[in-house]
Amino acid sequence: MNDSTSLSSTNSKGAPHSLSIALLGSGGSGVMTAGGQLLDAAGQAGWYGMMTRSSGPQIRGGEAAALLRLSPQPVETHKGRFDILLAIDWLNADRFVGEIILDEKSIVIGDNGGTVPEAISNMGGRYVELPLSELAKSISGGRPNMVALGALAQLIGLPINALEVVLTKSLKKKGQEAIDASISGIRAGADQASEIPDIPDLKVTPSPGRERWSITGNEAAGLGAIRGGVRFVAAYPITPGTEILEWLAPNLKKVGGVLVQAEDELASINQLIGGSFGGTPSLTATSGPGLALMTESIGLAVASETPVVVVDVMRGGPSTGIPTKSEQSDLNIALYGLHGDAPHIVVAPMSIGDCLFTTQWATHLAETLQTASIVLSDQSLGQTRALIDKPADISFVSGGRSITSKAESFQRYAVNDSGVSPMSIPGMPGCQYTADGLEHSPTGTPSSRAEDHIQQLNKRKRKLDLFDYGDHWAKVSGDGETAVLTWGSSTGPVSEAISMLEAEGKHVRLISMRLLLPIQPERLVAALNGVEKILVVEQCHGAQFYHYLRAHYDLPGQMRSMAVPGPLMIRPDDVYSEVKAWENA
Amino acid sequence: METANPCPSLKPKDYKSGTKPVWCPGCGDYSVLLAITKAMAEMNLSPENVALVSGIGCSSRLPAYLNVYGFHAVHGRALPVATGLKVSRPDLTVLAAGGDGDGFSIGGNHFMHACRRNVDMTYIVMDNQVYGMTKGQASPTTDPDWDNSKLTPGGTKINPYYPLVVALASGANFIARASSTDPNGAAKVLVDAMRHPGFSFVHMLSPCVTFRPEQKDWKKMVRQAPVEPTTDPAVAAKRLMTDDNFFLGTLYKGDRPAYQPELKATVDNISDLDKGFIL
Amino acid sequence: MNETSILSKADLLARTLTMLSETVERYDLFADQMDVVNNPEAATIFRWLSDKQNSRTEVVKKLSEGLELPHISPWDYDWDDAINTEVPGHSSAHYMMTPYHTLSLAIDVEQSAAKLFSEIERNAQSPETGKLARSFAREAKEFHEYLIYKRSEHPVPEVGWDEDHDPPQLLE
Repeated sequence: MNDSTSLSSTNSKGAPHSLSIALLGSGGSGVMTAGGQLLDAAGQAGWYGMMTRSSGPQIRGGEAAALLRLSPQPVETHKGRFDILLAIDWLNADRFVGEIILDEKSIVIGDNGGTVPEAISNMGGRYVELPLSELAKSISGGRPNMVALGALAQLIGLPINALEVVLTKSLKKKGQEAIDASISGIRAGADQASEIPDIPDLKVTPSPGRERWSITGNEAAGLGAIRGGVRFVAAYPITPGTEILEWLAPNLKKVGGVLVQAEDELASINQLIGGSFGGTPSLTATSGPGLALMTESIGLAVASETPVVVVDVMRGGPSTGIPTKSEQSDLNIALYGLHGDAPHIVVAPMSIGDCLFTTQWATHLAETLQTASIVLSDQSLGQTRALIDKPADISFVSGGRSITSKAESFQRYAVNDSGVSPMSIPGMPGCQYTADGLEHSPTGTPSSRAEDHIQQLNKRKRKLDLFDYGDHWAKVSGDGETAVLTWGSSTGPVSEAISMLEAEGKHVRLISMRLLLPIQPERLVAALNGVEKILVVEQCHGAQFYHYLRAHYDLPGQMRSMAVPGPLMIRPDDVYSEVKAWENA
Repeated sequence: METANPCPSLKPKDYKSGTKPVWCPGCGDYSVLLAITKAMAEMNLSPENVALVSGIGCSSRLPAYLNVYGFHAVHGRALPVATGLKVSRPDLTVLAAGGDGDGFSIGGNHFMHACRRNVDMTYIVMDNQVYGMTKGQASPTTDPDWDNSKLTPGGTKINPYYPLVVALASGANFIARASSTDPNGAAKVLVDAMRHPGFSFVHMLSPCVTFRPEQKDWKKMVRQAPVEPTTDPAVAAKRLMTDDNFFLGTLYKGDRPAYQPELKATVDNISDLDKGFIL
Repeated sequence: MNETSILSKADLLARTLTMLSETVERYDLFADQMDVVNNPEAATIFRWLSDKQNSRTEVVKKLSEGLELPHISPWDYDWDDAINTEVPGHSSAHYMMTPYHTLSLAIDVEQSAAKLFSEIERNAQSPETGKLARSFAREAKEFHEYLIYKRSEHPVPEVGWDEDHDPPQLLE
């Protein structure tokens, strides 16, 4: 790869060499489809990459953007700056200005005769016109999005045959005619693009070889659930969590499980409790408003020690907020939203691929510890599609739900050293008990005695505190006296910012916490040994993560909070600049 | 009449846990507890294969008094818990129980959708037209002029809710009324309800001696409905709309198939699911 | 014709056993209820009643030895709701009930039982069944009289015996 001339490798800072492409259009122009096909074809050709959908509030006909980043290395965040912006039309395109940053090196492509909105042309970049609709019209069944796809492939050096493979697969149901029309469109677009003069070398060298997956965080969470043993799901649709359910419904069926669409979130969480009481690992997916509705019964799961898993795909809040955009602002409700003293598990995936592991782990923990697990994913992880290496197929050798059928002296809430009491399931003779949200004695009989309350409170806390969470609690890398402490989807940009700093010879530690509850003070203090400055990065206006750290951890040195609300994603450059600014302060 | 088991091996008392109820002496719920145990004995059910789920309220304390698997859930959510259990464990006999406040007020939406979903379970609502555990407030089934609660001076002035009508309109597959004043008759209705496929709703009159002492007269007011159960919703609608709340017996038996997804794997290995992601 | 007249001996024994054992269970339940509401006097009497009734149950069990008793479903008792009157109804308990009330409750039970067995005796087709019913009726009458005597040891409750100076409790 010719790095010195490659526009794709503008950052000499150590971030992955990559190309960022924005594909814009409105109502029915097919930019999302074309973007997805471009991503899959890039994967076919041996690239890594990711694609985020961005759209207006309309269900149909709104403006839409497919934002792609392609690279020979795995990428987990967008850069903000785009190498290519291709618009099939410019209707309402200016609403994406905050998300799509262009500079004089960017190439802006539009249809012949279009008018680039000022907000976009002001950012700079070289404007090129292509006869997208004209070429589409010249082909029977041709469409401008396919012409655009061909042009982009040509510009970035993506082999046309990779696109042909993807199109043949995705259009199989529509028949050969549709496939031929699309391929003709792609070829026409590619030919036309090859005639654009003075195009810098945008090509990224693919790194083929390993099995590559195309997956969204929501799909990964669904797969993690099934791998974790989940066979019962009850849920109410909510953006941006719905795709977890859409993936799970048919796939649960294949493995002998079932998804029930419930009447509301109150019903979904309680159906899980019923399913799990019957011995079936159970999970639901929702977003902030749904989690708020579920909290009373998550308390019931904790008190009755019934394992359940709730995946919260966070969006901008409070209230209906910004449902289609990401924010890490449900941390407080996940940590503290339950009434009473209710120890439970809160975990957060730190990348799209990690949604698989973290959801599987959350299920494992809920089952092993007989409690509720909340998984804090978010819109940016959930709805972004990424090309990743085949994820490891992890199975937890020990743990899981310990079911007993020993009837002699069975006490469902027996107080013991581990805090994990024997659990029976309906059908086992002699082990009948009543699971109760009322405080209870070891046998499960309701009790308001101080002695029973303290015993059960201690037991429910002890079982979480004593468990060995191993290395999964966090991702810790790098060294140096400055650390960036973050969680969830902010890990991607933080990680890339640190790579940029390392390329300058700086040493910065990255700590991303996967396990947020129960707290891990000893582990975090060890990971921060020798650190003098801690930058806390989160996508949240209220600095909830920063306050959580302040409340529960005795941290060394100075702390600074970088708390940025959605809907715009934190970019690697932002974190990079923040670290530099503090250094120079 | 459904045929009874020729020789039950367990007695009604074998279905009791031995925990002493917190109910007031004289409460109708004792009779309901007895009727449930009699029905289970008649059906010769193994206690370990039965689960009873309840919400919050006086009557929702029921599971702790039985020797079957029980779940005492949060207020208003017995039906979702029971739904999740039955759908994932169709081998079990599942009952849900609670009071009029739990089932028709805070849990009203679930009642409607449980009728509609028609999962094979039996829902017993012990109706005493009052909230007993919070000291006697009006419930959805309280008459509009009942003015003994501080919360609704002068009465609620709101028409009561007609649970049987709502159950029929929402799609319940079995609708009956029983009374705690006749536990043997109630046992029969419960056996019918448990045997009938789909969602069975049993409206159980159960007087509150503490907050509604006048309900002691219900014993004189209840009577067997002079009709056979109908399978015709139109006939049932007329019957239930003209009902005076004191007719006992099975009033409607539908023939809708119960909701029960098949839980049978079609792939040998879950790694099969990976295929959808491989490029 | 009254249906009670078609009773066979086994049938009569089966019904009597069910009735007696349900009464035992009911007295036990009432005793437990009185424990829960802190009414030890009534609890003690209910336990005593339960013991008495239980020994009668044992006698009837002995009489039934060697006989195959039919199973009768609860709703098949066609003694004009007898089962509901011979066994004290759940609603007959009160948390402040006095020993006088407690014994009165049992007196009513025995009176109904005596009446029922006499009726069966009158209509019995087989002499054997009639004889058995007569002995059950006699037992009930004797116990009835004894209970009246026992009750006379306790004062008749004054008006306002059920007045509670505290409001009911809040629970959940």
